[in-house]
Amino acid sequence: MTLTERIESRKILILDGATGSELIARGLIAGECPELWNISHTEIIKDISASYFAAGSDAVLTNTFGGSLLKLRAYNLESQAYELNFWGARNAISVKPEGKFVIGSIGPSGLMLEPFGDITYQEMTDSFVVQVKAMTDAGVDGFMLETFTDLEEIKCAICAVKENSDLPFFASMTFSNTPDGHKTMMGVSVTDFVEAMQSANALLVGSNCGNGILKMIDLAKEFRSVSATINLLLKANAGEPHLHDGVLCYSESPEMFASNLTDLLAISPSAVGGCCGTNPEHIRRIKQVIETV
Amino acid sequence: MNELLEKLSLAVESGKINKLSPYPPAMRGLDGADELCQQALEAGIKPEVILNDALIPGMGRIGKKFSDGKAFVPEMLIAAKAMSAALKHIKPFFTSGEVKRKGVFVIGTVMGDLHDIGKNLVAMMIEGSGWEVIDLGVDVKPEKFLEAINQHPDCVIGLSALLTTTMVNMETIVKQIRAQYPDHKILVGGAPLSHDFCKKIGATFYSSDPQGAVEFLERSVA
Ligand code: B1M
Repeated sequence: MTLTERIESRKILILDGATGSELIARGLIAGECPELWNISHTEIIKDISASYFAAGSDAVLTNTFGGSLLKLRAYNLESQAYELNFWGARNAISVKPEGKFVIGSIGPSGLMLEPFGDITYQEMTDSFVVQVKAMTDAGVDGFMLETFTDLEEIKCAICAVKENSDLPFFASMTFSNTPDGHKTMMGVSVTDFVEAMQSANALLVGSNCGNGILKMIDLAKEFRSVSATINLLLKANAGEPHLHDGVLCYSESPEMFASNLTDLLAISPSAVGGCCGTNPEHIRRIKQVIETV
Repeated sequence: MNELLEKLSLAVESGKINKLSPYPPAMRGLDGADELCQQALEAGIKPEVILNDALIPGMGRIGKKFSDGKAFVPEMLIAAKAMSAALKHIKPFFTSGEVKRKGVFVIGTVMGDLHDIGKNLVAMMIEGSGWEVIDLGVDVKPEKFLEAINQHPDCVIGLSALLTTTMVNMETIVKQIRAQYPDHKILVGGAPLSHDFCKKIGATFYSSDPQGAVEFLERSVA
């Protein structure tokens, strides 16, 4: 079954939880490039994907969130972009059980397009092209453009996907609540985002990061009020990060997540998972709840 | 208030950089912060007055809208660009020695952290108030700060962090500085910080905004 057929089957797709906080828990230190671990710590990367598959994820994301040229430039790793993305995909694929999926993660550049910043549209698009090519070659089932906040930037990423691959893509932005509805930090509303993604033919549209499960439910309701028919993707954080005795903690336990999940499921999402601070236990609980309702 | 200063303040708030800049569309063809600041200086208005009565309040208003969720990052960035276009005219007064430099301020966003909008604003305001500012950029490792102190023993160090995950790195940097320079002045700031956190990690002072940072520096030379 292809990813598109799987989504059209209308059975909820269970995604994975966080990659970043799992890497930190396994020893990634500040200032290190997470994508470099795709070739330097392959066993750990495979182990993270395998632990999500074992917990019940139908699809896991590759460790390639920051694999764009512009992101890798900060670590002087631009020249290894193809390799880092290719192996990021291969690591996950190598532990993928039959019938499950691997989705190529593509995150924002961290830089601003003109006129607010100094990156041109061409540079931005090119920065994503190498990710798309490498992961298409490696054999992913689709892409997830995640935590974008600028509509123009996600359009550059979509352009890179469409021109270099026939694979489907999910589009996800990060929102916070404002007096005027949910907006991304660049000021994009849910309506603007949904409309643009419908015309771009995204397989799933939704949000990840930035919000814990309760705020994610409010946001999901706004998505639903904008469109009753979109295939919605939701990946909440395990709450907001805080420091406890110098150790970074997330406040929402797998139990807390699970106990609020029915409200989230009432909004009829097509795909659910977790973002920063969630781990395989969150996914196991999500699966339990989905199977009982 | 002086009409010129009012216009300048509005240009900063609206992100109107110069006459040619197309943003915001409603101000197309009008003078921007660049021209208006030049005109204010030509009209004999003192650089400090321009800074305190036009530039800082303009930036303050857009900052308030941002915190209230009524303006977003693009508006903030473009206002900062307009502010820096105006500051370009004011800086020579300090470098020419017409007004004496108050000291050296070294600022950077701590390692692991790439947020620099707030840090740049703080740097701009401090530079605008007469300090020589050395900006080490983002993702700055402890050694860089130590090197800077080595070169400028009297400098004040400024650390910015926007992520809960990088506040821990701020602590590392302060510890490393303290190990060699127990009494060095270290200013910290950034949205997730607090006075308690500042005290806990042994920094000298916490400011939640650029104005507080400027005031701290003024006190430190008094
Ligand atoms: C030395 O003395 C001083 C004194 C005062 C000082 C000072 C130093 N430094 C600052 N101040 C003070 O004065 C300044 C002027 O008034 C103030 O500075 P501020 O920086 O607070 O204020 C600025 C003027 C405006 N504020 C900002 O510029 C920050 C705005 C928000 C929207 C934001 C932005 C813009 C960005 N982000 Co990021 N981002 C968010 C922010 C959410 C929000 N709405 O605030 C925040 C900070 N980000 C967050 C996150 C999680 C992330 N971000 C990330 C990336 C980015 C962008 C690159 C996209 C962009 C930064 C662009 C840039 N060049 O700076 C990622 C991390 C990248 C990294 N390694 O740093 C990423 C991890 C997202 C991801 N999943 O990839 C959240 C942090 C949560 C937490 N507490 O840890 C966040 C609160 C958003 C959210 N609601 O989740 C004061 O704090």
